[in-house]
Amino acid sequence: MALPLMLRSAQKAQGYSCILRCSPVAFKNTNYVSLPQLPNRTSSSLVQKTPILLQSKILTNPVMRCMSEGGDHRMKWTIERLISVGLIGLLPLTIATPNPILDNVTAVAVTLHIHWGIEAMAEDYLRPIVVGNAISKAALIAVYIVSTVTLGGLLYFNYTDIGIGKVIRKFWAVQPC
Amino acid sequence: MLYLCRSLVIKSAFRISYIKRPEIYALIRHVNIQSSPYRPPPKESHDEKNMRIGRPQSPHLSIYASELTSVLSASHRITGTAVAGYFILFSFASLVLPQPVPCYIEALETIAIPSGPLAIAKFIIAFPFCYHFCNGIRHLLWDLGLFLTIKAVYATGYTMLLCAFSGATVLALL
Repeated sequence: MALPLMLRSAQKAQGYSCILRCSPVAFKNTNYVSLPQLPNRTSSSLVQKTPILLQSKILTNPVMRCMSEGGDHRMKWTIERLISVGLIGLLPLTIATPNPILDNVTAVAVTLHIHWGIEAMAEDYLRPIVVGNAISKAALIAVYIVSTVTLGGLLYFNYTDIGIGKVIRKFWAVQPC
Repeated sequence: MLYLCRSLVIKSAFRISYIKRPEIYALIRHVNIQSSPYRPPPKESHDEKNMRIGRPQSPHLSIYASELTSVLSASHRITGTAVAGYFILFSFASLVLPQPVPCYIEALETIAIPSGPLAIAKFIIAFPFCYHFCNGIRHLLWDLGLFLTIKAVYATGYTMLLCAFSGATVLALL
């Protein structure tokens, strides 16, 4: 440990002659930088005699950052919140004053809200690292199928039957004995 | 002049001392500094990387103490699933069942349910909706940037629970 320090100071003491020998051009184009060579013909042979295990290489690696695919989520986030705010007023209103327009708007808004909700759950819990790639993808497809069928069923009910608002009122109006 | 003399002296001294003792070189580490060319990082997500290198997952749910914050958040998701279940079940039933759904509701009336159990059943059905409704409002207030301190989170949490329970009670008695 002390020896290399001694040698380095020795090389420094040799003065600027050493530095001139290692010109800036030489440094720029080489892949590696070696300490300034000893100004002696025996130095190169002695360096070669250094055991390979004692030659250390300092490698500089780029900082590894893992990236994943994914689009811009901002618009989707905003629309999610807008639908939630809309549902706050929509559901009580459609139960209080049932009519076909409100029923259909509620059907669409509720299905969207439910879709984003169960999609978030599928993405959070059925992750590839937990259940594997196949089940993860299948879960997402299942979410889409469920949302589509739910929307279809609600719109079908609104069209052929009494509508969401009225059916909730009817269900709640079941009388005890 | 002094510098020249000194450098000459040191040069010769060190030259003699280390050249004549080649075994010293066995103790010297010859350092090469090498830089490798830039390789862009692989396009994999956090989970993908962990799967690739086979990392185990540390315990979380089994060890973390439950607090109001986490319990209310989990309950928001659970009640949301419940209300979604109502709508999904209703929608599937309207598509699949032979009779229209109101017929089945009228059939419910033939089952003589006493008023006490009926009110309790209504409370159980209404509570997930009321809870999700009130907590949803709390979430939207957070999205507006309000009530984000711990004190406010706890205060709004208890307020929300109060509203949810009272709302469900009112609905159950309707």
